[in-house]
Amino acid sequence: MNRQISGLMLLLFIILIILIILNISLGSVYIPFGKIITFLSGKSLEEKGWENIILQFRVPKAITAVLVGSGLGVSGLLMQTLFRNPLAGPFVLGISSGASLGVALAILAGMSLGKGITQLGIGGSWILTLAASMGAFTVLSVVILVSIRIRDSMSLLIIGLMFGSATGAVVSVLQFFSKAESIQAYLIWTFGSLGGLTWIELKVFIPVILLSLGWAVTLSKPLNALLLGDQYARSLGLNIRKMRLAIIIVTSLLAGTITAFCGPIAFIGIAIPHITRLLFNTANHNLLFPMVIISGAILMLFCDLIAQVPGMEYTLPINAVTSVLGAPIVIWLVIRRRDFSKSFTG
Amino acid sequence: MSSPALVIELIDLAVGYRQGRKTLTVLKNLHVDLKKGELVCMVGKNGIGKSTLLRSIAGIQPPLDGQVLINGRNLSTYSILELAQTISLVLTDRIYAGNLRVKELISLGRHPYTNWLGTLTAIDREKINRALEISGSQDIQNKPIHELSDGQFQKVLIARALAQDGDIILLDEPTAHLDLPNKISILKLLKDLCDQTGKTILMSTHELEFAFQMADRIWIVLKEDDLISGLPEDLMLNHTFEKLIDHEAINFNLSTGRFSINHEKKWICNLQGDPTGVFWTANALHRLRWDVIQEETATRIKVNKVNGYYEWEIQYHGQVYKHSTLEEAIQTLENIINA
Repeated sequence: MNRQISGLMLLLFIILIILIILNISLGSVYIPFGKIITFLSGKSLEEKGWENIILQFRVPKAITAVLVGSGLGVSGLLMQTLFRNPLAGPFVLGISSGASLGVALAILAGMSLGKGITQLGIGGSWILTLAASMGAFTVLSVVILVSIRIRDSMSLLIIGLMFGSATGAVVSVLQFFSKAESIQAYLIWTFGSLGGLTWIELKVFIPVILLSLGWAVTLSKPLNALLLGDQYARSLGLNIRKMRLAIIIVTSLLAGTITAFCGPIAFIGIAIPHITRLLFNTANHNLLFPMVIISGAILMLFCDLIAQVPGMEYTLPINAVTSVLGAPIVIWLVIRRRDFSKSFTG
Repeated sequence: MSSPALVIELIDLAVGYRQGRKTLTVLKNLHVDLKKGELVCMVGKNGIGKSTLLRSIAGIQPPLDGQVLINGRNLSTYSILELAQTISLVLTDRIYAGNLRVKELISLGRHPYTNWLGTLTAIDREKINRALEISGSQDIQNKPIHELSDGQFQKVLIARALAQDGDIILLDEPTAHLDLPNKISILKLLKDLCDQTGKTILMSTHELEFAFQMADRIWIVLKEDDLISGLPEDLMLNHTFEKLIDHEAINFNLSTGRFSINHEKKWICNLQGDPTGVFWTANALHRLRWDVIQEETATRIKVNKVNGYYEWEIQYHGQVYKHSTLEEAIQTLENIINA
């Protein structure tokens, strides 16, 4: 069984590398594959324009895709284990809604003050990150506070949905009082985009996501104990409160940061943990974390390839692509594995 | 003092729930203890607070008042980790953790001892294998836990508690949902554990008859402030036990320790013959609301054993009916009633 898993792991890793190279190779400007390989192997190209496109646009985008897929997958896994609920994910519990509200406040309210976020440059990306993270953290903290009181996950899910609706309503009110161009700016943000990050923004994005992922991996052992339920976890010496707080912070850092830089990217967060569990047939987080990180990156890179519509000049909203592609994968896996529901309930 | 050390001591303990300013006391004024290596069964009605008490002793739920001493030390002075290394818990509910496998579940018992990654050392592996072996779960160690039967699952949970390797194991109704052979094999496993490993075991149960056969001591929870501890036989002989099942529909036979359903009687008959035959015939007659007495009656039944088979002879107003099955005999009795 272990050999099977390491084999599958190796296969996924190779797919990941191939997808990264493909992702860098394809785009609205045609660059011969040979030139891409030449450049990636460290040599410089005669065509400085191509070099510029690869270095300033395609590599940052590929890095973003990898980190977004991994980050959302991991935050989804954290939520599903914490709440012992298959429908949990950053989006369902209102974290993304919270981030959206934060960003809406920043873009819509900010613009009406006469200072467009887009004109703020580097500072703008910082403000957006901060706004989205604050929004995400606020909503998730409230959800957790409620969860300590009620414990039963179905109620919690409903409360998460209510937060989503409520924040959605506030965003609507903000839109109602905003100018057309700021509404459009917000709307485009909600479509999600992996291509908006330059190296300057990546200087914030990469460390935040990598540190959060690292932190998440250190939670593997307590998360495994949490699989047995709160009472067993406590009797195994786990401080549930501390643990919950750590999970909230990591999740909101990941989901909040990703939503801030790339928009509310739906679906990946819920789908990747399920896909990984079903593929690897395991509940052990020591194994799930690396697998979720690789699978998340693969799915995101693949979605991005599709979103670019090879040969076309425009890019589809990434948010639409993730759901259209991801949903059939999950449906197929769930039908194929009939004992799927056993992961969470009787 | 040469008497065995007290592993658990409850001193004027009150347990229950605090919600805001409201306090819901479930049990109070508890003074009771548990000696090292004892197997104690806690019995009491549904909902009286056995699980709450177990959770409070396990340190999962803070007591409302009084003290829990574990190995002579107040429970509240233990760190969560120390407690995890002293007390293991087995709860009633099933665990839904999907692809988690039996061995992985048991390995989680080593959680309080492993490093931050949960890496298993040679000692951990040995304890896990021993827990697998003692509980007889080796054959299923690679099965996902959702494929287990209720009996297998309970054994695995006990194995997990064993791997955790504390001095004390607390179990909340470990035989609930199990059929008779599984019940017995779980109870036997616990008894053997107690004898072989010297662990102290406290379990809540509704298996009164088994509890009286295997427990070193019984805790009977009668009322909110009435927990009585004693040798099973003492509790029988001083009628404490009868208070637990104080219900008009239940008969308790002190000389056999057996319970029976108290059927309201409508008719009487005299019953004699082979003792085993009489026992089962009386069983059927009681169910059909006949009272069986020693005195002469209009209806008399005699059970004969001929070549290992039973025969029933009913005498009624000078007439004699013979039957080779109880079912036919009962039919005759019903004809007599209806005549």
